[in-house]
Amino acid sequence: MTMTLAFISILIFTLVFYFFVSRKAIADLQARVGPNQFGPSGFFQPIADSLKLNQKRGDFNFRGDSAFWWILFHTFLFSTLTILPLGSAFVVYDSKMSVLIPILLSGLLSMSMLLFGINQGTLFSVLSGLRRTSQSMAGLFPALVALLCAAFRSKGLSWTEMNGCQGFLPLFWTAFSGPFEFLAMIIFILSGLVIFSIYPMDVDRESESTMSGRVLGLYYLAKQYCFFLWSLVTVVIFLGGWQLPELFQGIALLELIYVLGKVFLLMLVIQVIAKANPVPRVDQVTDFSWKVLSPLSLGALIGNCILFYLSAQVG
Amino acid sequence: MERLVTEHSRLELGIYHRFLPGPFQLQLDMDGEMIVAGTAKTGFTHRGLEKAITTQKWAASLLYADRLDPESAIFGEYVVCLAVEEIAGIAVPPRARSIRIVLSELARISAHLMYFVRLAKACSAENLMHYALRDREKLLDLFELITGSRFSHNYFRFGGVREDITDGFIERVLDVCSVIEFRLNEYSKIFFNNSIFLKRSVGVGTISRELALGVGLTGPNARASGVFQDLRKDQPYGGYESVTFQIPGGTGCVNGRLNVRVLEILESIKILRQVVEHVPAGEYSAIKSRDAIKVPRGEAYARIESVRGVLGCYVVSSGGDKPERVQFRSPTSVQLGLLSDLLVGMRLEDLPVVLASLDLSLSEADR
Repeated sequence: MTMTLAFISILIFTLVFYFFVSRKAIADLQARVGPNQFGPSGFFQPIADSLKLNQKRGDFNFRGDSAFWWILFHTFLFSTLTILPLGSAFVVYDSKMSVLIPILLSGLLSMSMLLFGINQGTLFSVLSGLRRTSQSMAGLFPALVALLCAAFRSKGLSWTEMNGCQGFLPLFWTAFSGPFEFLAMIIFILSGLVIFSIYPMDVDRESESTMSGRVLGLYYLAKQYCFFLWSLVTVVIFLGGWQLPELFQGIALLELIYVLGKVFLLMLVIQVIAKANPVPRVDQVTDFSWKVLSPLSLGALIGNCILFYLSAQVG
Repeated sequence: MERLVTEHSRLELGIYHRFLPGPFQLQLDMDGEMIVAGTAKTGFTHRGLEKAITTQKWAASLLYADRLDPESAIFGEYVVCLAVEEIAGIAVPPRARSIRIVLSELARISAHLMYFVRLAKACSAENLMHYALRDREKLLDLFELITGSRFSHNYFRFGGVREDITDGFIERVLDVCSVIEFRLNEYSKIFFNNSIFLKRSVGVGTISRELALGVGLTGPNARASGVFQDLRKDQPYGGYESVTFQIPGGTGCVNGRLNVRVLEILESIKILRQVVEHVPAGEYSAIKSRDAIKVPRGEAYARIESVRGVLGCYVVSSGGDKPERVQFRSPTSVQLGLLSDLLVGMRLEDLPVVLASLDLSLSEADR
């Protein structure tokens, strides 16, 4: 019970802290003040914003089966809360294919977005669903290939294997163990932005413009959660996971804080870089994914194969 | 192989929509993501401005002209002043002419910065949006210093300007010019040369020279399409004959229109530096009393190079204390006319970018 409470408190505090820091950093970058009203220096602004959105009724017009797909979308997404790899004590279930769960999830999400859009029945919603799906499909292939690059080192696709093959120091992280692994990490991050339509790959704003109030609040939460989930997967696969120095290994709370710290730092870096760029069109995003990310990921995989073969011959 | 044929769908955007730069309606026929036909409906913000002017005394007409385009209000005042001064035969003192040029060029820079804001917003480039707004504040501060208000200045008068420039104004103008020059360099690095932005703007929404000439397009949009016309150079008015500057041109696409505006800001800075360093001494207005204006019977048509193109004003006087008839020719009305040709074959996602690149002012078009 104490552990659960500590887990929830840390998660909420780090979330609020992340939103505060990211909004302040981006505001500073854009020569404006940023959140400054609610709490010390606007620290509790994310809470105030979510309360404000939730007290407004969402005037989203559900038609036909769209409510079904809307509920299914969020059920798919938030069911992953049970398998978040936040430390050795938090991996409740770890199969030999655990790492593929977020990839599978993204496919399901894109399908439900498509069916949700079609069921809405307006031109914008249909286009929105089609855009989301084409974007997700384009991002899935390079993400999978980049994941295979990392699997060379871990020799398995479970969270424990992915994390266990790395060390505490960055030198022993998968991302920095070779040039192809580093390339794979970049591809994996970009693919995630494409799959989940996260800024600056956030090409579809039409679905947002039809929502308001608590529906919009839930939609924003889902988007931020997707971003968090993908960053967490990236950290566990490529950036050292929850590996602490030997002295602290196995201390669940320390592992949790360490992983969350890295995840939010990664999210912050991505957001700051993203805000400096305009948003491309959907065809440009899919082109980028098929014509740049996919060949690069294949190149990284082949390069990794050759390196492993040569090192096996020498070793 | 037989291709699947589907019916076109009709999409109505507006009167208010985040794609649109103002309150008007776009009716689009869509084939998937592609626009196959489009028409614009305007008139939703019609205020009867031209008629309202004729109900007020001459001095008040400048207040109404301010509201023609609140973003660059100076140009509305300027064109009415020129028309009335022609009818009344008022000679504007050289000092007032210089001050008018300074205010016009500052308004041009300010409006072009706002253009960057709208274009950046259409591409979701938030950084540039905030930077351009921050720098535009410096220009609005200058307007406040000299006219007392940031918008709707009501500063020009028949025969001159309302007040003389204050001490330190010239130095501040020169400082702002240096800052804007520096910032433009910064914008180029972070936005104008950004590869994603170039992909979204090069070759998109191209207005050919023929189309521009066909619909009578003027201003930066026309110059971007290769129609090198600028009234400040072709038919100089109000002292522009004594300044030297270039007419920039570009490709007719979104990127070309943006580049023309960037270069125009630099040319405006060049003009400002020439003018402010040699502001003549003397009177700032030929007529001291606001109500002393007597406009004899007659009519005149004046036109100036406003920020969006040629802004014309036709004034008829019956010799009374009110104008008989006032009519404007606004550049935005012309730009709206080319939308039906321009939108065909465009992707729906490009629509907000192209509309932002045209720099439409619905206030000016609807009047």
